[in-house]
Order: sequence, then structure tokens, then C-alpha cells
Amino acid sequence: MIEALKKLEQEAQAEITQAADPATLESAKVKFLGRKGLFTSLSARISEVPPDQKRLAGQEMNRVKTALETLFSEREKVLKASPGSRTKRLDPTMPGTFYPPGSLHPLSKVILEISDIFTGLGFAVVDGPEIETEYYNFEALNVPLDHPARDSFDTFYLENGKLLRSQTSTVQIRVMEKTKPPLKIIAPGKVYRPDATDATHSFMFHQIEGLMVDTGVSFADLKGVLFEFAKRFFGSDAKIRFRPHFFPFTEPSAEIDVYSKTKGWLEILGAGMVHPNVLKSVKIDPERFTGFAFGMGVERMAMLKYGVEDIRQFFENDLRFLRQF
Amino acid sequence: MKLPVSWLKKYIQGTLPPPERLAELLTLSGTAVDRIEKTGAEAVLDIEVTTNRPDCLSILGLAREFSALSGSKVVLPKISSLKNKKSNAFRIQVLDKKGCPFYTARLMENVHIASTPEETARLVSLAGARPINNVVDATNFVLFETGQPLHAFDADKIEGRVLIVRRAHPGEKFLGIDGSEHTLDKETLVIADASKPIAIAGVMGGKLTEITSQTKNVLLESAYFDPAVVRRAAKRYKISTESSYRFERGVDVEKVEQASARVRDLILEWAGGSENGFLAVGSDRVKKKSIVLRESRIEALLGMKVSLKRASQILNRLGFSTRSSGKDKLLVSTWNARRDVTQEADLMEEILRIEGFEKIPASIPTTRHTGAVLQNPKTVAITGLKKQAAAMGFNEIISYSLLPKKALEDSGLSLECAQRVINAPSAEQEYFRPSLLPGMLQAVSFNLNRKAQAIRFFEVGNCCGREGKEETHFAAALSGYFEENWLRKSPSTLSDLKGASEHWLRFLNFYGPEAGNLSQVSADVLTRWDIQQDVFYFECSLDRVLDVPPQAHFRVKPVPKFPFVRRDIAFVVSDEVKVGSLEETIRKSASSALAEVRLFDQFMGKNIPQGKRSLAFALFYQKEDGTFTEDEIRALQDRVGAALKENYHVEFR
Repeated sequence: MIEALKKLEQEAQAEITQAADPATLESAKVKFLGRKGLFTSLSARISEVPPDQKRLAGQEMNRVKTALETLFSEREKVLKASPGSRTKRLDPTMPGTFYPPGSLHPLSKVILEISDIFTGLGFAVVDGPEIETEYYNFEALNVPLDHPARDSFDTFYLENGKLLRSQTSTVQIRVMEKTKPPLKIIAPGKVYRPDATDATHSFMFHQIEGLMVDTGVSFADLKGVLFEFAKRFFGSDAKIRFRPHFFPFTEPSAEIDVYSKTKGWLEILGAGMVHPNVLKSVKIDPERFTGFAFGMGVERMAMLKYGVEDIRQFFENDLRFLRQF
Repeated sequence: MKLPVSWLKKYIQGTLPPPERLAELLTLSGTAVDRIEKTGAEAVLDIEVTTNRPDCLSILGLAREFSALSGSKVVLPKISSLKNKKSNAFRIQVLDKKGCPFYTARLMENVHIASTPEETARLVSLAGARPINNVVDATNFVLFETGQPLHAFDADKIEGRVLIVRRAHPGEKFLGIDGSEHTLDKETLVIADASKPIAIAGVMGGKLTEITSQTKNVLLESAYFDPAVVRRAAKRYKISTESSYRFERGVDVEKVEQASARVRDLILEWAGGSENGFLAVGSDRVKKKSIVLRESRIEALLGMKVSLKRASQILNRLGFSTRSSGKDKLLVSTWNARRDVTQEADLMEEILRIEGFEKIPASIPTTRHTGAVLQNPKTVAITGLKKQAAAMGFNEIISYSLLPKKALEDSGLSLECAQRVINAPSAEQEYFRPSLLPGMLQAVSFNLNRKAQAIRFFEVGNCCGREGKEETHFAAALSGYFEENWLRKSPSTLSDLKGASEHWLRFLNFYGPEAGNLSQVSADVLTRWDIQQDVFYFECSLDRVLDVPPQAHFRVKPVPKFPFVRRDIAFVVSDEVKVGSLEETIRKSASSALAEVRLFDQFMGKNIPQGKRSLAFALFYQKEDGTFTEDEIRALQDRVGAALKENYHVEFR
């Protein structure tokens, strides 16, 4: 008897959940709980139960009846509350209607990513003006006047006697003038050089400058920091190599290449130990403090990272390009 | 600099590695090989020499580099005699000792002009010079071999048998050996004969005195010219020659005479004739200096140990003479060919680049934090703002800061606000922008032309404010659809951009006073940018926005214990009355019980008289200590109604 009641309860439960509209539910209710329903006919069989089990069977009958009544009434409420579900079907493949996502410019994304890597290594992000003076752009950086070294720093001059910085190294000087070591900074920003524009050159581009000055900073630290950067930016299997190079503001100086399977060694940044003359120009004793500096082109990084082939694409602002980031 | 490998081989004792390996060795020690060109058995390395290393602009200089790297010896070419006999067949006057500290001329007589031996012609041409004849090629051969530029004049075409090194007379004409004509200015250093310039010093010889097949007697110039003077002339007349390239980087004055003797030997060998005298004016002596190199400093700066023994081996092979001073110091004598080396840090680089960067271990430096806060609050705020704008559905653009005049004019901007660039190579880059508007319009126009439906752009960039002061601006634009999907479609409006701008300013904690401009771009401007639909634009100076001192420390307000009561009020009013004034009247008259007032509808048109609009406001009443009675609310609403009627003659609906 008790087993029969349990079986009936399960069958009823199944039909209740499957009932998709009030009519189906109603007929199920009649079928199970109606005056001539299955429950009534089953409960009539109580007389067949041995007297010592009657009490238990009676309790079970009451429990199942209450349980089914509750299930029916709850399901009824649900079906009545959503009449649409009967007539309208939901098409979940219709597009969502929230506004389309915006995007950060790929160069901003790269700057953010690189800034995050370096802030993780203890560097602070700072900025400096784009309109600069000869002093910050050249003199303080040990770039001699009338020297071919200036050829790589062709510069836009303004009517007011100032110039547009041709490198973010200017920020090194501005920071060191105000803050004495220890210091670790990076400075992202725009720089300008009157270059003819083509697929890899632009008269305006972005650089990220890095600088660390403290007691006991050596080339090994520079190597460690840049290697760590390369691993985080290009992946943990990134290979880099250092090549000697010349920059007026660092000594020794190096260019750093990253290895690409398809293109071989690619130059990605310039670096070196801060030139003693630069430290002297900001009144930091080069005997007591040493430091390293590095600078990288953001466009180049973005081109390598995202496979962009033409630098001009960054400044065209084509939505079909921007939306991909 | 082009390096034919077989030419290098002439000066190296022992064998050379294969060209690829040679290229790698040179690259990793500072003379970067861009390319290897192979023709037959010959390989030519194309080398990028940095401006501080003029010594590497010669085959012998590169041989020295290879020697330092490999330990192989350099075999210098033999020069028959450096003894010179004076001559009075010619006179030299150096009128500008600063521009020309040392000048020599050598007279070679009765030479036989012919073509150069085949092997020499081949090498000279691989190095980048066109073979011409045995005399000119001898000068070019030695130029490539030693890095010292030389020039050969036809002695019989020099008027007055005199060479004068002087500045040009303004307006003086010069006919270059390449046929180009130049009008000289008074800054230009020239070599002149009795009547006219016959060479621009260090840059180019003249057509009128060039060596021809008829030349019998040759006057051979070898000199040292001031790098800045040569550089200026090369730039001024836009002539870059193998000669000017080397002079402007600095040649080795101590090798001037030697190079001349070397050319003499080659001319005697290839063209015969005889030497008839040598003249020199000025001095080729350079003062030597000693640099102290400390063993301890090597480790401190490079992060690896290099013994003084090894350091001195490297420096000796590179041509520096050294002697030890005590146990832990080396005295290194400066050397004229390497004028880039003037202090200890320079010696470090020499040691490092020969020893190899790969030997330095990589270490992560410890960070010592200072009291000073370096992190720039502006940078932090801008990063946050950019992320916020992108999350709100705006696409970031980056436009050029330098703009043509037309872009400023077409955007209705005054040229006076912009900073003019005085040396822009193109009119496209003539002005530093005073506003982000032109760049924004450019981007809008570009994308509309490519059938963009909905434009939401923002940009953060620097502009020059009044008086040329640089400021960081933020700009945003809306055009086309604001929403466009199967459920809703609505065009962008000024109110949409106003709402967005309010978000941004609140994000930056800015609550006034004036921050920037919000506007609908004028039809006139749009026409000039060929834009045929409405564009809404917002721009503000972030320096001004971020300059506002922060509000008192933020404290949370208690959440109301009792629910608010909402009552709507709708009326018709003249469309000259601003919603802001109406809100103010409502707020004032309802007293502090009014928690919020919000416009929720505007209607114009059918059933509303011309010049009027119907507005509907929702008023939210709130008490801290209980609920309102119906009478209290009615009284408040009546007061609001009366005030509106009195002030603005509204008609309730």
C-alpha cells in the first residue's frame, strides 16, 4: 500500500512538471485527485491493509494527498502567471540588445599592459610635457649640438622657441630634478620626429621610457628587468639578446632584440646605464648612484603583438579596426 | 659602410670565419650588420656604424674590431716613407685655423692617367664608389682603407699655384664635381685658388680642377676639417658624400699625413710619375689624457667580474695603451681615433661589448621605496577615465597632434590659439593643435564615408591652450544611431552626450564650476568636413578638471528608513522657460521634504500651442522620521503648483 502510494506520488509529480498549460494541469488533477481519481481508488484499498499497518498507511495517505495538492496549486500559479509561455515561444538566438562594447585604442592597451608589468616590478608611472625645451630634449641628455648624433633626433621646432620632444627621455631629467634616488619610473607618451611617413615611420608616435637610479644598480639589473618584461609581454618562452649600440644619454648602451620564429631577431628597445654626464646634469653623484634607462616604441610593440602591418593604421581611426581591440 | 670580406682579409693574419659568423660577431659587438650581399665568391657586409664610431668607417678600423674579438693580428699596409721634402712649387694659406686645424698637400708630377688595376677597381666598387681612374681610385681606396678622405686636384688647373682655405665670399659660385651648381654663403669653408673656390672643404671637389685623362700633375689634399663646419655645409647644400660623412663624424688627425703617403705610394705604383714636394699647415698633434679604470667599478657597473688583465688585453687590441697603477687600477691613455672614449664609463662599454653581453647574469633589482610619491595622479585618473569611457560603449581614437592650417580653419578654430611649427617638412604638420575637434571630425568623416552607422568616439590628448600652455584634453563625439537593434532604435542626441559627460565628470570627482564645452557641431563646420548628419561634441581640459581640490572626504548617507512618496506634476509652459529654472522653483517651494525632482516627459505638437511645451516632472518626497499623510503631500504639491503658476504662468494639465 505504502509503495503504491509512493509510486502514485512520483507519477503525479512527473505529470505536474510536464504540464505546460492550465488545461493539461487540470486534467492531470482530475486524473489523480478527482473524485474518481487514482488517489481515491487507491485509498479505498485501505481496508485490505493488515490492522497493524493501518496507522502507518493512513499517515502516508494524508502526506501524499497534501503534497500533491500543494504541487498542483503551485504549478497552477506558475502557469497562470505566464500566459505568454503558452502562446509565444522564446527565440534565444535573437541578438541581445545591450549597447555594443566600446574599446581602448590598441596603443593605449599596449601602454596599459606594459605599465602594469612595470608597476608590478616596482616602477611608478609618470608623465611629462610634449612641448619641451632644448635643455630637456638635448643638453641635459648629453646630446651635443652640431653633432651627427642629432640626426637621429630630428625635431619639430615651434614658433615660441620651444620644440616637440623627440623622445620620452626628457621625463628622466624632469623626474631626477625633483626627486632624488632611489627611483624607479616609467613614462609613456607621444613623441615627434619630422620623418617621412610610410608603413613603419610616423612623424608622431609613442614611446615608453624607463629609469631606475639607486646605489648598486648594475647592468645585470637592467638585463633582469628587461628579460622579465619580455617574458611577460611576449610569453614565457621569449628569447632576447643585447647588442651594443650608441645613445648619448647612456654608457654602456645596448639595443635589445626579441626573437621571432618567422622574422628572426627584431629590435624592440634601446637601453643602457645612465651616462654619468646625465646624472651630473641633475646633480646626482655618479660615484654614489648608478642607474639604467630604457626606451621602447609602443607602435612597434603593438605591431608585433597584434600583427599590424602598417603604422598609419593606428591613426586612421577606422572603426572596423578599433572595434577589434 | 660596406665591408667586402676579401678586402678585410688583406689586413688579418690567419683565417676569417664564414661571413655569417663574422656578421654575428660584429653585430654583437656594436657594429651591426644589416645585410650580407653575396656576389660569386665575394660577400659584402652592409654595416650600420653608430655616430660615435667614425673609426669603424674604414676597413682597417673594422679589422681592429675583429682583432679585438678574435685575437687575430692586424697587418697594416706598408708605407714606403713618411719623410717628406718641402716644396715651393705651391703655396698653402689657411685663413681659418678653427675650420681647418691641419691641411696638407702633396704634388705628384708626370702621372699617367689610366684605369685602375682590375682587383682594386673591383674592391672600390664593392665598397660603394664608382671606379674612375687610377688617381681618383687611389684616393677612394685609401678613404675606405683608412677612413681618411682625400682629394686629388689637377695641379695645372689651379690658378696662381696657391691653395687658400677660407670662408666663402657671400654669393660666390661653386661648380661641383658632379655638375651641381651652388651659391655659397659666408659660413661655408672652401678651398680656393687665386680666384675661386675649387672645393667645399670636406664635402666635394670642384668640376674645374678635377682629374681628367689629360691630367699630368696632381695636387693631393689630405686634411682635418672641423666636424661641425663640414656638417653644416653638407646640410646647407644637401650634399652627402663619403668624405663629408666621415669628416662630420670626425677623422683621426694623426693619420692625415700617413694617408697622404699611402695614396702617394699607390699613385706611384699605378700611375707612375714622381713626388715633388709636400706642404703641411697647422698641427696634427693631439693631447693625450689618462683615464683611471677601477677593477671594483667594473663589477659595480656591469654586474660581472672582469680581471684587469683581461680588461687591458681588450683595450690594447682596440688600440689603447694601458699601464697598471697599483693592484686594482689601470691607467688608460686616450687615443685620437677613438675620441668617443673620454671617461671610465666609456671604457666599461669597450670591455663589455668585446666580452659579450651574454656573459652578464640577469638579476631582478630590489626595490627601495622612497617617501616621495612618484606615481602621477593625473596618469591614474586618465587611465581610469579611458577604461570608463570604453566600458560605456565609446571607442578610443588617437589622432595626430600636428595638423594642417585647413583642418583648423575647417573646424572653426582660430590660428592664434595653435602653435605653429617652424620647420615642418609638410604643410600637413604645420600646427600643434589647440583642440581635439579637428582630429575628431576627421575620424567621424572617415568612418561615415565607410558607412559607419553609429559613432561614439573619445580621445585623450595634449593640446596647446592659450599662451601656448600645454594641457591634456578629453573629447567625445556622438553621431548616427545611439541605439540600433531589433527592439529599439534611436538617434544620438545632445542629451545622450550630456548624460555621458556627466558620468565622466562625476567619475573624476568634478562637480563644477566650468569644465568644458558640450555642443552640436555647426552645420557650417560639418559641411566643410563633408559630414551630412548631426555630430554632438564634448571637450574639456583634464588639467582644469583634475586641478579642482578634492571634495571633503566622502561619507556615506544613511539609507532612508521610510519609503518615498512619488507625485507627478504636468503642465504646459512657454518654451522659453528652462527646465533648470522650473526644477529650482519646485525645489525651493517644496522645501527639504523633496528628495528629488526629475523630468520624465516632454511633449510638443498636437494640442499644444505654438511656442509652448508640455512638461511632466516626478517629485519624490521623503521624511527621515516617518511617512506622510495624504494632507501633508497635498499641501506640498499645492505649494509647488502655486509657485510654478506665479513664476512661470504654467497651465496644469
